[in-house]
Amino acid sequence: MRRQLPLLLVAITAFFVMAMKFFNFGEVGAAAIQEADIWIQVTYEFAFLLGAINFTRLHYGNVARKRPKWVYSVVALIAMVLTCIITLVDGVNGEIAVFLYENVANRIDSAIYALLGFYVCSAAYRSFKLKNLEAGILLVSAVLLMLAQAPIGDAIFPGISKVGEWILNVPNSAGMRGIRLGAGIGAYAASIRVILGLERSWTGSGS
Amino acid sequence: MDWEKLQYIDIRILYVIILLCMIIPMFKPIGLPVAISENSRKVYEVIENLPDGSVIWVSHDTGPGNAPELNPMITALARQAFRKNCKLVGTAFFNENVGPTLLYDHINEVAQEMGKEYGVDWVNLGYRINAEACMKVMVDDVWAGVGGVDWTGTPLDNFPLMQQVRSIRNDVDLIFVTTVGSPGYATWMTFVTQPLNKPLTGGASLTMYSGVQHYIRSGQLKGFLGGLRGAAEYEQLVGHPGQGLSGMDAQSMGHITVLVFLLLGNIGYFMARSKNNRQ
Repeated sequence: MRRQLPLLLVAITAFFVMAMKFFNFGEVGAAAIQEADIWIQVTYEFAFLLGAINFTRLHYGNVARKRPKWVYSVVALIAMVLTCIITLVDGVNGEIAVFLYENVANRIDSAIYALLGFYVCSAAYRSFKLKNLEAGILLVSAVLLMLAQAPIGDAIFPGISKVGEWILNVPNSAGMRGIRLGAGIGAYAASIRVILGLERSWTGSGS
Repeated sequence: MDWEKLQYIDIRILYVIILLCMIIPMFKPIGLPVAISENSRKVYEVIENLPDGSVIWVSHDTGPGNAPELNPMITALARQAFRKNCKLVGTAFFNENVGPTLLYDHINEVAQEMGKEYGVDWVNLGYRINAEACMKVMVDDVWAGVGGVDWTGTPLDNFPLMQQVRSIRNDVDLIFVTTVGSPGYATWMTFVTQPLNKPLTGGASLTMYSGVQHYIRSGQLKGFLGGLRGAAEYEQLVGHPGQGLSGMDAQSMGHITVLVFLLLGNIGYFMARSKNNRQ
């Protein structure tokens, strides 16, 4: 029953929502969908709680078993517990809670993102080599787009921004459409398998 | 000279050069002209073609990392919208702190300058959890979607603008979204603009920009701004240079530095290969 109940719940919910979407049940259907949307919002809140529990279990396990780099887990646990206590005592919009969020969490986020710029530069330098035709196409596209995205490109080669626009609009669009269509069909297939109970790995029981 | 070494320049040297090339133009701008792309022009025109007094929904769906690219877009949008006496209703779904705060700061700065009043000409509804469900509720009932309060918890009854904006379906003319991931433009497209047939435009971080092109071609996006370059182009169209244009010289120098290093790396690679072939 522990295995069947979640599968049954998923199937019933999915068929219910699909029926409401594909058939017109008038005002009753619209009200049901609106109610379901509110349920989704409530369920989402529970997912956060689940996330916090999983996070604690994982990092507590790392510390208790002294796994490699367990010190980082200590830092993560302290940060989570401290933030929770401060936010509960001070309130979500409290002075200390907002200060911590703006001056620690946000700054770390910005710094990590800024570091990516340097990593991209070094990765490009190390790996963009004209080794074969495919690498050549990639290299030429990258060079053209980098020149097209900066005003200096037009200053050196007038009109290069138009070439960049064409690369984005035509070959890039074609590729992206293929990827999106493929991913969309894949998502449909995976969803149908989950709804029909053929895919069960999410229950922790393997497929 | 041992050309092969060009492949193995100490990466710290590259980092220092990149850093200097980005910082120096900020203090000593070159002022290179920025060509306007078709996509940026479309964004400007779709807003310019709205009737005066229209309601624009602006969602600043950004995090701290990408904010410098996207903030200038919000400033320029506020300037163009307020010039046409358009009203702005704002949300932020990507980050609970940065999005709403930056949205407020950037619109407020322009609003103060142009004599526009909070609650009458613009409102910031802030962050709400679970964007998809919230958007779906707001399609027919904005007040219910945001719990009847703005980002500071002030009841919406206090704002004359919100008496006019009850549902996105009937009361909003255009949606402008900045995007760095999900939720972002795709969420708005799926749950709001496609079902309601509303125009959607905005801007994305440069890393996401290649992924939106086919939606522009299909007409699902009415143009889109790409990164800091897009913001700079939009500022130029609005006729008020700001942070976007001032960052362009740094971007130019950064890109040129990377290209120079790419060239050096490839020279080193070919020299090494020809040497190996000779041996």
